[in-house]
Amino acid sequence: MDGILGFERQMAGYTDLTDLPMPPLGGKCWVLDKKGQFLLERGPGTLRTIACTNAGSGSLLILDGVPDENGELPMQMLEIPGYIGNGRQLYKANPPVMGSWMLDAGFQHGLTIRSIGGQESAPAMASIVWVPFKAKAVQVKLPEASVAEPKVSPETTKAINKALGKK
Amino acid sequence: MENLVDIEVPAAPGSLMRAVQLWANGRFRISRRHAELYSVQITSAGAWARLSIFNGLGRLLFPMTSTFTGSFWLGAGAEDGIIVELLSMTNAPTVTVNFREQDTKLV
Repeated sequence: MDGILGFERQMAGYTDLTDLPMPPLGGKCWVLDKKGQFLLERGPGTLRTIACTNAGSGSLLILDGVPDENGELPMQMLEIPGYIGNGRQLYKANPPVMGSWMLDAGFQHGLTIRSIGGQESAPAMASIVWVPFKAKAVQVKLPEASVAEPKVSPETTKAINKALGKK
Repeated sequence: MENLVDIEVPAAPGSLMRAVQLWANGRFRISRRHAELYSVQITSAGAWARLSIFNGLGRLLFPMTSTFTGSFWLGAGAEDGIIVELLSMTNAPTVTVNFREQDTKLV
């Protein structure tokens, strides 16, 4: 009975950790050492790694999504090509497994961690590192010299011109 | 933090990467400015040992409550430095910590 009540408590709401500042070097790092649901990031980014040093019990889920005020995610499946549902699973370990799990996994909606089930007193312990997406950081302008002219054969050029009604 | 032992770790020529191996119980400050904790290797688990790595502000970045051998890639930001703590009842674990700072200066 305690286990069931514990599970409900673990799933009720979530802990918002989105105010963790971005360090000058490297990615954001947070140590998971308790049961519950934790929102690490709102918006897109990259989950770099999970360094799990104590498996604990229960299960460890990492989701691409932001929970609502009740701590629930719609868990939408990828029915529409190119559509990423809020609650898509990025990583699931049931039970948690020790190790250095290098992912570099992209997430779109946000980053949510669920450490639930099992014994309340035996949570998995893991360092979780992620990097939020910064639009400015990826605005790379290629030097002009690296932009090669497209090589098109005379026959292809003729066919394109013909299709466009050009002589 | 009390009983901090400062260790100066040079950067490799032509690289920002730095590596240090630790094998004794204690609390070691291996970096004193913003750094990236790149990876950790535990090559000997020691006996009844614990490993903790903090940033310079004392925030935990990497816990290992009961040491075991392995290699962990992190790429974690460490504000104001990196502090490594090795604790054991008898034999300390042997740990290699790799990190980088913004330049090759020895600070």
